[in-house]
Amino acid sequence: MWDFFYGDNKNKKNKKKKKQEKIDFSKTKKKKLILQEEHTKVFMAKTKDNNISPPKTTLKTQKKENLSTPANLSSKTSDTKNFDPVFFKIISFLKEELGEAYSASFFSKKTTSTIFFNDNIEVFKSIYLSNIVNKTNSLLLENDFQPINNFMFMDINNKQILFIMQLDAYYLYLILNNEQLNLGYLINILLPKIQSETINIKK
Amino acid sequence: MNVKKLKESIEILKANLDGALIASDIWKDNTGTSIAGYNSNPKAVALFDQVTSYMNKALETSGFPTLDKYYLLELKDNALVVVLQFKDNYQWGMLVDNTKVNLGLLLNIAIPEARKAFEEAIAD
Repeated sequence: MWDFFYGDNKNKKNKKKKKQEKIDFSKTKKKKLILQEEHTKVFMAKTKDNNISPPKTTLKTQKKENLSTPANLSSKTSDTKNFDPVFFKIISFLKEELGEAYSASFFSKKTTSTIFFNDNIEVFKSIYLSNIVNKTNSLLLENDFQPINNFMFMDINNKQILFIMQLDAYYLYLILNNEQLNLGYLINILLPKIQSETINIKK
Repeated sequence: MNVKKLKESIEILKANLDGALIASDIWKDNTGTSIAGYNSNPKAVALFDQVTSYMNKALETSGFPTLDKYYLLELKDNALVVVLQFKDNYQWGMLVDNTKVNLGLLLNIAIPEARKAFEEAIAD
């Protein structure tokens, strides 16, 4: 009897506890959601600080020096909204994997030379650089050579490497610090991983 | 320039790459004509002379430093093109079979040894 009484009392207490837990859980869920939102806000702010800039719609002020014939400067920048979030992922993945070897990067679309996701590099610089692959490929094809397959890279004077990889319909340009770079890791491990990620991107 | 040593430097490269070297040419900047070579390809010399100068212009215009020691292109059909740059305005281009040599051997052994032999030939 007493047991029953106490048992019943215990059941009531347990029910109360469970209710309380449910309330707490929903509260923590809400808290989590709020935290997640805050986190994404902070992330976006950080990416802005790191110059992962949603590029402007058009670039009117292009420096026109030695190389600047209108044909060479057909590149345009465009809104990042139209591009897959995978590009963000790729850049943060590379930053993490390459560490100090990573310096800057940007993507360009093969067909239109549209430049996007400039990270730590000015848009006008990327426009000039973005023509390197297209020009090299057209020279190769004109002279009955095969075009570039997966990658090309240049050892440049201030201990940097300009590495360009082909990712389906896009090129990824990377500026890397030669002294910290493990080229084999980039070519044999990171490049295939990134290439498999970009296969599913809508063109 | 010691022509004999220059040819020797190509032989060193050939030996280090152990059958992977398809063709190779040495030329002076903006001339587009070969000084020495193995399976020489005049078309390739003219082409890569042009490619080098384009790359340098693109780098310069975009505010980057120009090419330092080399550039490398991985072409379809398992071919690698490496073009070495030298201070005396010489360039050394090579077409390599990607399936017969690994990149580490090419960049860390074959090229540095060939470069050293070439620099000696030029200094002579």
